[in-house]
Amino acid sequence: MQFGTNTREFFDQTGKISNFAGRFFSSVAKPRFETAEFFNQCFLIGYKSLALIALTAFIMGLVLTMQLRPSLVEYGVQSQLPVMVGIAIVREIGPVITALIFAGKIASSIGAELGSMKVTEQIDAMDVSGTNPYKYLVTTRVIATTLMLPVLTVLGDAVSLFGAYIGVNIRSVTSFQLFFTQVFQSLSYGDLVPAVIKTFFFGFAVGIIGCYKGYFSSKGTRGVGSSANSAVVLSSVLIFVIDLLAVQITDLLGLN
Amino acid sequence: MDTTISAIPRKPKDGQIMIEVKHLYKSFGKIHVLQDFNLTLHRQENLVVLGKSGSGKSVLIKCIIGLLKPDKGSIIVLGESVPDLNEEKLDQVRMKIGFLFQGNALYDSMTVRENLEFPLRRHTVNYSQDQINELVAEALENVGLPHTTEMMPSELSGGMLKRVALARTLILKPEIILYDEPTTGLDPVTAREIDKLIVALQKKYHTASIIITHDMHCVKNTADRVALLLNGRCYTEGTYKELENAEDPKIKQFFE
Amino acid sequence: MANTEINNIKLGILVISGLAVLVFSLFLIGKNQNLFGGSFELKARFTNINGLMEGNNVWYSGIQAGTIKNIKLLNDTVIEVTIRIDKDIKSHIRSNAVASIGTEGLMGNKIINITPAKSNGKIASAGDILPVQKPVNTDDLLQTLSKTNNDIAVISGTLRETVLRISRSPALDLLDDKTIGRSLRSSLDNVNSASANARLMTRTLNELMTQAKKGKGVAGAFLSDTGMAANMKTAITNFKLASQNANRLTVHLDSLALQINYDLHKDQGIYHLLLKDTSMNRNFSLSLDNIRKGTDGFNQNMEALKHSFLFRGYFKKQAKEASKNTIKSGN
Repeated sequence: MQFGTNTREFFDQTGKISNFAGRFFSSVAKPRFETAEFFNQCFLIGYKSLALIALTAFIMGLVLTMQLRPSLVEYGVQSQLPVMVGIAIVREIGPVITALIFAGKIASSIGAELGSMKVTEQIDAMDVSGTNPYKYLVTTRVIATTLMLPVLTVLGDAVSLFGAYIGVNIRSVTSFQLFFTQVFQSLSYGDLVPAVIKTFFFGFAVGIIGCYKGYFSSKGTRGVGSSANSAVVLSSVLIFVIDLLAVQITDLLGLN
Repeated sequence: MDTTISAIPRKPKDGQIMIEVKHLYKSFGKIHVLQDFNLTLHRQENLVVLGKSGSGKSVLIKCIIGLLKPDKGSIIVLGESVPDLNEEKLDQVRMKIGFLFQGNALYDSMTVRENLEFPLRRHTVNYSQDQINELVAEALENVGLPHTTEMMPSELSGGMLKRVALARTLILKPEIILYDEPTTGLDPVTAREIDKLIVALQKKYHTASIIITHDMHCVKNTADRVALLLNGRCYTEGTYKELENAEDPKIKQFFE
Repeated sequence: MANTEINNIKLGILVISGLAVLVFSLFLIGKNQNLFGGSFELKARFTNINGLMEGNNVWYSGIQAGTIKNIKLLNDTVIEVTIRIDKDIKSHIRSNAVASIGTEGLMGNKIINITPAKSNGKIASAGDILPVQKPVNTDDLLQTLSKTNNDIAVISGTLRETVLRISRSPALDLLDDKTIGRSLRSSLDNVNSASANARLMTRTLNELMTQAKKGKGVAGAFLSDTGMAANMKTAITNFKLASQNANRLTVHLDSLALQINYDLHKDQGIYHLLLKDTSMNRNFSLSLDNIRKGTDGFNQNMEALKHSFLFRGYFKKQAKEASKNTIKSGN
């Protein structure tokens, strides 16, 4: 019985989210375009997350390098450290860690913001004021997350590689030029392009889930809190699911 | 209407009908909120819809403004059937309707000025910046808060918020204003101030209003006519005096 | 409103820097993959490309020279590989340069090596088909190694016999030169331990080879590593040298014995002769020296091999088992 209701709920949620996402696609191309609000959201979502993402990316690069070193030393191939770290960061660690941090920061804030707007009837007020709240609130935010996450990921990758460079230099000495050459020598389009493309989907997932959870928040402070919370949880899970799909697709396309 | 007592509807000041609701049905799941509800609003009339909490008063006005779709029945606002309008037409009708939300629904991420400008910029693209400034100043003057333009809603008290919300409702000079429990959550002194403001503004701009409330002081101060909402129907209607003197215990319970 | 403008500028900086990093990386990668370079192309036809893929690097005498653009199966046995060559390399490649398939580093990607031919040909023009060298594949390597391995076994056997013959040679009894005796003994010791090592190595290699044939990675990787193979080769050469020297020594000893016999026959003093014949003496000690050096070298090579990381595990296991055995026998 419990299982039955849970299953129903799961499919019900999936259907509602798909419907919500479908509404995004049907409304995104239609005027009017909330350009000013879109730029405002890009600023809030993109620029304001940069410091956090740069910090985590830097630490990630540094730590990853230091953790990988012993095993490489064991096999006597520590000279390959930049190559391994470079590939790991660009292909997987960079996009996924950035997306998760992004989900933690943005999905929760969108969930809470729209949730409290819903609860205090601000969304209705917008509707009454002649503004399609879906377009004004959801579409702008979803486009902003979809476009900002790739930018943040690319910058995060760069910072992460810099962290890795410092990590290499803690135990040995490598010139920046050699590190740089080694990293880029080992990378191919098949490493960078799919990794960047998947971040668009990560960003979309974070935006749409945050908005959905907020837009249909239940009343009260508790409703808003649980919207923010479930927005983070669900978007983080979705990031991994998309990552799984992405790796299979790139594999099928022979880009690996 | 068979159970209504013999209260004679007061003669309208003006023959023109602003809102006409006929045989309105609305239910949420198994809860039937409105069942065969009928209501008429005339020009320059203050109609109070009186009812207990949860009797469906808010649902009624949300149906009128098109935030909720009725299950059955017709809603004619200014000659247009609201449930059948497309988004564009609905916006045109909504331009002529002001809606004061119970929780004020001020956008808490915007200043008072931006809150007031929002409907201006949304509904019509034609206002110049000077006109907008003028309208904002006038609206705030009307509610007695000319100095709050650059403040955030979180910095204002409950009564001030209500006034700002009222100013935002009035800024487009609507022909009809819908008040959703305008005095709920305010102290008695502030509540009476709001009552006076409602009446004063109605006099100034010659608007017709529907006021949803369960506050009998508010009813007494503002009502030209009272409709009593009971069990999803319009149980009776009449002037405040008429209902106050009614013998029916179902009516009397409101006046004790 | 001014605030919004500043925010938009900040946003613009963010987006532009993100795009700049992206474009820059794409460009750098592109430079590696040679997508933006000239379009000078050469072709080579192989029967087996050992897993070479489009986008793999092409080296000319060890310099990055281009990438694989296209791989096409012409018919059931011929695979045509199109190679895109960098502009600045193009004028150095002659049409008789040899293309072969190799590996980048120890376990790296497949590459095409273009090696200049010894004789001068004309400068290659676009679309030329380069002659190819059959790719070295692991099976062939294993076969070769197995042959050398057998050789080692045979040589060490022969060496052992020779040494025994030396030690049994009656001529030794006649020598009282202490230095010769000492060097002979140490040489024999060396030869002994060398052949013991050789036997051990042969066994190890045999085992590893069966593993490699079963597809267990490390040994296969070891075998395809050219550096390691070179080490093996010197080891074997040293070993051969030692056995040759040993053979030569036997010949000397034999001739010595003959002479002794002859002298005995002629009633001439053997001691006298031996001490007097300095050239013979010198030859003798030189040979002994050579044996020692040769076996020494072999021993060192074997030791080096033992410590090579790929074999470390194996020898550790051996040592452990050996100590276990000693403990058992001790009990």
